[in-house]
Amino acid sequence: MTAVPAGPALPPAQAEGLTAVEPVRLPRSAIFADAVVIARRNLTGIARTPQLVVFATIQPVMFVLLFRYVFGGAIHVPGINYVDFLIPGIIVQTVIFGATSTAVGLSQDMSKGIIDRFRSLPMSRSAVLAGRTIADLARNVFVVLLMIVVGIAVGFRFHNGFGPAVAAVLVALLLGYTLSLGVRLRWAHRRRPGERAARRVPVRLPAGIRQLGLRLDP
Amino acid sequence: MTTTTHSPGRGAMIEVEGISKSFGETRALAGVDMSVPAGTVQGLLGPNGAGKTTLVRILATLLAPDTGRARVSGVDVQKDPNTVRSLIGLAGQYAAVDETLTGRENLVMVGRLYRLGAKLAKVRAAESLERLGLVEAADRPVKTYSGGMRRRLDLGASLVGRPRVLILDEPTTGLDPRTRLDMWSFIRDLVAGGTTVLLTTQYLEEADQLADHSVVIDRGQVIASGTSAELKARLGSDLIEMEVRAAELDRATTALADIGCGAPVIDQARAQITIPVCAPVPDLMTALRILDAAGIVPVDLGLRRPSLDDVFLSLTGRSTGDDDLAARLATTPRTPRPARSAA
Repeated sequence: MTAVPAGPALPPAQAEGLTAVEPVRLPRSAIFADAVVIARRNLTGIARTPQLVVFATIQPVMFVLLFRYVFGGAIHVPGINYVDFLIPGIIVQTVIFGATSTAVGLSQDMSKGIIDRFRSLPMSRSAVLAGRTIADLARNVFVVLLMIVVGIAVGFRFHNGFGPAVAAVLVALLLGYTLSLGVRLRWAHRRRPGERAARRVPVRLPAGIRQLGLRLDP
Repeated sequence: MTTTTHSPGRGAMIEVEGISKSFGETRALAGVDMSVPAGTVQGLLGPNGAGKTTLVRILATLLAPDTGRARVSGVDVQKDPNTVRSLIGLAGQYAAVDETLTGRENLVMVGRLYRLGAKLAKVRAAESLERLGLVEAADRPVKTYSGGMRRRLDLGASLVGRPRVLILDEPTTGLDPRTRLDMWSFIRDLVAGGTTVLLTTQYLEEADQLADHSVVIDRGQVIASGTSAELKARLGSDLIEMEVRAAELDRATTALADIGCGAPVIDQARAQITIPVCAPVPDLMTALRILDAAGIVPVDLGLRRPSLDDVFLSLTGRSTGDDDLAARLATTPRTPRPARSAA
């Protein structure tokens, strides 16, 4: 190999068939456009992976039925109808679950090199994060609405009118979004240890929730 | 800055000057220089942990070097990464494609992220699929693809942006021989179309087949470079390799002491004698006459050109410091080197 000449100014352009390169500047809208592309990719992934759909929908419904009808008789919450106590708790739990289950998705993207591919493209850096979290948020909206419908079917009611009900839902979604963003930001900083932690979190959470269930029983 | 254009220098599509990179205590790259002319294939050879992937990641803007600089088509990878990203295509060791999407959806997504716009992204995706023979499988989810198809799709994804420079990081590692040949022919087609390729590989045959010029790196440094022929020429002479019956090894060795133009290598365990020769055919014939006179019939006998593997092993293996080829080959184990400690 010929060593690279450490010479001074190189002759300008077009030498030996090389054409000059126009600098690429990302437009300001890049983050939105790219986030939409990434979010669509992630939502397609969720929709086409039955396990994820089941995890996100069937499981919380099962929890509702389990606690409402199987354990419900043994749990007495003073001063409040048990079902009105249960459903908000399940909604929050589901949202937390969601953040961790898609965290696994991100860690898979990293280990499979998909994140490297994104990072080698002239796209907005933040869009990878934004797209992911937007997809998570969209899924959470669906799951929370589903939980409310199921809740109402088993006797849950909002007691303070429409405004506060919407506000409560927004708080739950904000919690979910914050968690998923937090998980992802952690990933951005710590690669390998983070990946390992991601695989552990979903395994640990059910145990935590069992404890939560025990504590509800006075 | 927005109006200036970058000027590439002297036809070198990839220029690497004094790049070094450390991860904690580990020195991955220790001052690498490299220059790849436009429209050529550069082989980047080295054992595991030599620093190949680190160099690739720096050129692909995934990693910042500690010192030195790298330019692609005259554009500095650190100063203007987005421009570099629009010029390169990266295909890695593993197929970086989304399993739940179809092949076509994967390519369209990458096209959108290359900022091609929806229509053009679709056109380019279709082009790529056709080029890589994936038209029939295009609308099936990638999880139904075989390993070779995934790898082809990954290569296809790196082509969607019509890159000037294609960076292939061990594109055929883990593929079966048939699929590897397919990949090679795809890569040859691309080069014929004028794309510059940086190809990292552990397979010397691959560099031999595809690369115009190769660089061998080990422990973060360039230890050799040249065309395959030049690298082989470093080893100089051809070799007579023969295996005899163990009982006759000493007798054969003594009888053949005057043959060749270098010290023979004796492998006691395999009863094998390797003799460097400068006049291959006459030397072989003389050797046979001597053996015949001594009544020794070799179990196996051959004359061979040094392979790139010999070059590789003699360059990266632990050398005794002796310049003699035979001594170097003799001290070079035929097995992968033991892992070095991180320190």
